Amino acid sequence: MKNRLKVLRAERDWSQADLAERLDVSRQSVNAIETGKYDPSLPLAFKIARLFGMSIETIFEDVG
Amino acid sequence: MIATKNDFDRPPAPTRGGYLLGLTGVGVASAVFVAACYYLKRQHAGAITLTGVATVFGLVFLGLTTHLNRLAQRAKRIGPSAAAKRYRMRFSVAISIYVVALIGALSAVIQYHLTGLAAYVLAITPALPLLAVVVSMGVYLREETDEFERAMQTEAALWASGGLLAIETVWGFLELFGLVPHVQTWWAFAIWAFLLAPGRLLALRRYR
Repeated sequence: MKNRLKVLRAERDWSQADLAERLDVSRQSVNAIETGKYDPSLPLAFKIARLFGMSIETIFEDVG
Repeated sequence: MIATKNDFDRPPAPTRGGYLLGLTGVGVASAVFVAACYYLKRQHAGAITLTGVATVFGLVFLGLTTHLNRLAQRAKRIGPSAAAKRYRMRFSVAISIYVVALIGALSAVIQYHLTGLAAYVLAITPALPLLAVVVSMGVYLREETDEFERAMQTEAALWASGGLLAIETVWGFLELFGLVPHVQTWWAFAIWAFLLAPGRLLALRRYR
């Protein structure tokens, strides 16, 4: 699933590790989500959306 | 392409070499173990000698697979989660109890020629800490807060289960046709645990 995580992260000058810490997941998880290889669960997607103050649809794009 | 801080802190490259080194170590240890068992069988070694060899090599496998796991974590520059640390602690305690229980129970049964209920109780004793390991694996999967890590561990367990079923099925038929010796069923747990490491590598291959 495509997403804007990398852009949003860059805007805040956060590293993957910074974002991982804020989400309480591993850096590996952030990397897998960011590259679109792993789709987060609904609770984690909401957590990400809350962190960036946006809706899930603004961050994740359903290309299917 | 947007540059982020992460682009500058990517992990160093020698990951693949590290994996190969670890896998070669596991391969060599397996080969030595099979050779040692064959040699001891030819020497008509007793149950205690065989168990001692199995225990030592079990610990070698454990060390090597832990090494592989560490390599994987270092490659991603992450440390184990709090749940993983708790799991390792429970695992280490259970395995330590297992080694003591196994040697103790075998020695007692052989030395005192125990039979009946006492022999049954002592025979089951070494199995109990291994059952605790199974439970602690389940507890770990429930406690792990990182869903990606949980998914990887679950997939690794599925790969290990598939691998074990494949090995057991093939071996079972070879045994049925009298082509290979009988292997005791407790080996299933050791093989499954050993297959977790390659299982994890297979699970992670999509996310490189």
